[in-house]
Amino acid sequence: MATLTPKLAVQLASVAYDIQKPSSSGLYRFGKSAPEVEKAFQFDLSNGPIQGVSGSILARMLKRSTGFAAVGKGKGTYDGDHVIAIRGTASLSDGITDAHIGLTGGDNNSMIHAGFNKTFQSMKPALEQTLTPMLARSSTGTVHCVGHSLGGALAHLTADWVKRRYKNKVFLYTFGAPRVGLDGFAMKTSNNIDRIFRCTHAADPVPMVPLWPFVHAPYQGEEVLLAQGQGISFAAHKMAVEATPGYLNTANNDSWRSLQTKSSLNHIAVRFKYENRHQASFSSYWAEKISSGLITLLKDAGYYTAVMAQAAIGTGLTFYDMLARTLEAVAKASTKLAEQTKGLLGHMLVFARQAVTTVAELSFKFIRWVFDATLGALYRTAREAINSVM
Amino acid sequence: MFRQKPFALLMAALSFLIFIVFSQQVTADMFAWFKKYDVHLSPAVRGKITFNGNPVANTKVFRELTYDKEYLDYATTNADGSFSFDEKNIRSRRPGSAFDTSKRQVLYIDHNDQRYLLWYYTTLNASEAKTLTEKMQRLQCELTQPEKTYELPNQEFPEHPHGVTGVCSLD
Repeated sequence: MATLTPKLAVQLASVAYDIQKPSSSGLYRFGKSAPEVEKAFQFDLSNGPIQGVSGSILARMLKRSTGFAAVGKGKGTYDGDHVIAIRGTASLSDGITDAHIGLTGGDNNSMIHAGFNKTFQSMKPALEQTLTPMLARSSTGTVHCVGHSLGGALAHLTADWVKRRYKNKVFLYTFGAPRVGLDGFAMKTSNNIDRIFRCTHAADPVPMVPLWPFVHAPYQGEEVLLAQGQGISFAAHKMAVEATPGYLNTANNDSWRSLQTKSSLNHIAVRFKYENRHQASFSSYWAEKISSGLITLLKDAGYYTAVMAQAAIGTGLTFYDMLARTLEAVAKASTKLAEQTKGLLGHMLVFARQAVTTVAELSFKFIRWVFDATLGALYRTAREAINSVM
Repeated sequence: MFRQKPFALLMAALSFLIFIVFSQQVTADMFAWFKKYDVHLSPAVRGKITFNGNPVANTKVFRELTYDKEYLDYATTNADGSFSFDEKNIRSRRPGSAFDTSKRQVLYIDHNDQRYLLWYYTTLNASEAKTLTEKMQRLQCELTQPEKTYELPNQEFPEHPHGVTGVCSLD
């Protein structure tokens, strides 16, 4: 019944990186280098870690599978409990910077990120093979699912599946995890998973993506904000102790109660005035506010349900094409909605640090470009890095 | 055969390009990606290996260091069972990336058809840890001892003690 302490959870998320590269000697001592993990869980990796194929294009082309998860048995305070520690990956940058995000129907019949689901499905059979004999013996113990970055997204899918597949209590702990699915998935998993600890740094861009309509679970719930911060910095995504702030440092705490929580802005109505656009800045606060503004606009125009439904069934268009088409139609509906759309786009341009933030037209082409600029701003450094080698 | 060659070459070139593009990480600042950083893989190692108190002579000790790639080398024990390795550092772009890279240090020896783990340590830090550098200067390894996990003080980051596992005595 006990929850993992923040300290233990973050160490489990960090030791999961140890299974990324196999050791040629086969000498794994998983979890032993993290003192908190060593005290609470034991791992048997004699059959190797749970393998999966990452979402990167290269990995998919080569069907190259690598270690993704390790399952541990609890001891002491956690006797009878189990933990599934899942690692992140650098190739995550590929899956979430792509504006042409694919959606797919997940195990619980709601729409989720196709790349995350693909990786999860590739590791599920091995996970089932490992878990079934372990959980057959202890249906009363809690299953703790832990992960950082993509590992957090996979832990989320894992937690939801474990809860439906087995009878055990399931707790989820994520650090700097991206959004996994649309609101249907967030709602269902918020109800299904017994407890969710979603930890972030304000400056970490990964929890901000994929952009809306992807939303976080707990749905309209709280996140554990481990570090305040101005602006957005890719270094804020790291776990390492030597990083600033580094999740291993900010979560190095014995109790969740002493950590700061923050409520989601997503259900607050936000209507932007075009002339106030220069108040916006490139920060997590404005990323969230702009997403609220977009939702409000769609709701005001009566398009919200239609957009969500269309996103859910999937169309030939990519999501942002569809969204841009919708906003073009919204702007044509009334002068008031046109002003509100203009306000939203103006704020997005300032957020994206565009030199020119004038909204001259409300055509599909222009709106689509504003979406690209906004996505691009979040990943500008990545693109510069890519362009420099092209 | 000859006709297939340009296609294979094209595929190879394409794969390489795709690899370059997608293996690069999102970076901390605009130029961080271009920079290479020092990664301290292992301090210099000095140790002595015995079995029931007798020196294990003329046997290879393997050092397996992993940081994105595996760096493998070995040293041979002399008549009194002692061995040594030089410090190992590399230059890498990875510390400038937004994503963590695990660093692993493994020392092991095969003796009488059995593999003994002398040292196992992992971290997400690229920098050197003073306590470990000191410990690795004087490893006393009695192979009949059971493997043990030691919690060692971290001088650079006191709130994050190191966990090292192996048969060598680190007290």
